[in-house]
Amino acid sequence: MQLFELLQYDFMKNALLAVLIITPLFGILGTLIVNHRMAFFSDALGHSAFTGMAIGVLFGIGNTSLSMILFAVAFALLLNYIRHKNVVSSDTVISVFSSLSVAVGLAILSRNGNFSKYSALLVGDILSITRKEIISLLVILVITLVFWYAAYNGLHSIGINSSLAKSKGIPVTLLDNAFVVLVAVIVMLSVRWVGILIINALLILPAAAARNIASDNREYHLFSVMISVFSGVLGLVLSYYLNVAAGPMLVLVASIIFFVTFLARKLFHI
Amino acid sequence: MFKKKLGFLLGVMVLLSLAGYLVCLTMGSEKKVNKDETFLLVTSFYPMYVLAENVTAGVEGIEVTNLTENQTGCLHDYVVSPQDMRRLDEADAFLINGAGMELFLEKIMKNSPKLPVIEASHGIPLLEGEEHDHEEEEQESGHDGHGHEEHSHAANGHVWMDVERYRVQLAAVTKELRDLMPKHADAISQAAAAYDNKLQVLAEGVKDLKEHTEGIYVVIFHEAFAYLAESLGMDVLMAFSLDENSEPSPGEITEAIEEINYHGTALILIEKEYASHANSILADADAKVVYINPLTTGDGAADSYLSGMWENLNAIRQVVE
Repeated sequence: MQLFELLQYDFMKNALLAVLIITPLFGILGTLIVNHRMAFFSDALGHSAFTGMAIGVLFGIGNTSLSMILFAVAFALLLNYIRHKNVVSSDTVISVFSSLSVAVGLAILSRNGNFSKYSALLVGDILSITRKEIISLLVILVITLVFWYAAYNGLHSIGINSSLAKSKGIPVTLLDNAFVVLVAVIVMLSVRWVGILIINALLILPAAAARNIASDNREYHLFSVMISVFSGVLGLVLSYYLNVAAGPMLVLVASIIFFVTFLARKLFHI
Repeated sequence: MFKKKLGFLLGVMVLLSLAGYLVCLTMGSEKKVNKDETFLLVTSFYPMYVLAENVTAGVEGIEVTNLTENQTGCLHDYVVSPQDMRRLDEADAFLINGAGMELFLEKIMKNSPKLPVIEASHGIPLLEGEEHDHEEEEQESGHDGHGHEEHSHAANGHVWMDVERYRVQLAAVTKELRDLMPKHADAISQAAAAYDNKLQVLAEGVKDLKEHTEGIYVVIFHEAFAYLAESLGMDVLMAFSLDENSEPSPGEITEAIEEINYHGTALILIEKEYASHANSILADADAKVVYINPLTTGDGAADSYLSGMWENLNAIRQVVE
């Protein structure tokens, strides 16, 4: 078995490039999602991809990515609004919306017994990614980095205490909404490759594992990105040699790292 | 402290990589590199595989492999694995049914644009499909001008279920393969002619049976059966288009029952594995069930199309005679 034979193939090169762009992105975003306790929120967001796609198919919009992004952005803003209303406990509200969007999407996509055509959306298909799509991912990576540079401190203080942040003159609502919109766009752009069932794991696991061992923000970010990229690359390579889907393999690696870091913190107080 | 943690994390990563390497060594699929002179013909799914086996029977220097497992069946929901991509990369030609059966390929073909593709159903008149909503694919393929304009995606692509159309497929594949392998052109023609002779006998069998089946009403549970029904002169009252993981909806069942009752009686053509789907109709309508094999799976035997089709004809014959 030659280690680098996989790079002879264009489709593997494309997949590897995509992984190298998506995983740092998810590593960075994950840190704030975990800090803001939004794991469930981003999960619901991923599920809304179904409805977004269904709406696109229903209205005959050729590029369903567009309808997915538009729907997800609207969905994210609505969820965020309700989350801050505190009418019912927010996890209940999120669960209701998550179930609703899955049901609407399934109902529309399964018309005439055709759902199997869309089942690739569930586990993702990173091998079919093309150069053009990789470029759109690259653009979003740059936007994220700029946004991070400009807004991180504000977002971080919101995560710690939003009332305090407000009193310091930080535009809490604006920043918070901008953040969820960014998450929505990124999730929708990558869900075709990663799959609805596992996209949230990819957002949460690296950050959660990094949090196990990090003691400040610098470490937290660094470790999260490292773990994310590593899981992505190893997952992809393993999927190539073992002939299994890439998404699940990637999540498996990240999960193992999570448990190792979790135990390390408990046992060795690292 | 930071260095210690970083070291720990890197250590974990190295260990995981090693573990992964070991797992790959023990379980990984060994890659077969096709560097010799053998012409590698990859087929998309079972009916094409059987066709290719017959066209290349006795031809030297050609190897036929099936991209999907022989048990995969129809490819509507197929997701390619890395191994499939590798196989296509090594292939010298790729035989597909076309007519929308291999939708998953459109994207993949962009990655290996140089691979010659033989589309067996090219130019064959297709039956109308059921209300499949293929809008998405249609639009997507429209974007990059894939040249699929000649047939609508709503068309029914299961052409091999009509023996005469299958013979046209055979002729088309024979011609293209001869062009690709000029040295073996004669051997290919010979093999194809031998297969076509057997198909001709089969086609006679269809004609004989047609005398008993002309005008019979049928409800079909697989789009593929529309071609069989047409070649037997049957009148399709209703076609369910089910796939492996969906159930008929109550509305469709009711429609089928009303159609059958209106016309008196009908045959239900259904795959044996999904026979239970027909039960709800049998309860309220006068119908007989015939198990039909869509010939999309099998054990890889070269005569499996022939034997499967004869079985289908006999199954129908037993009910109508």
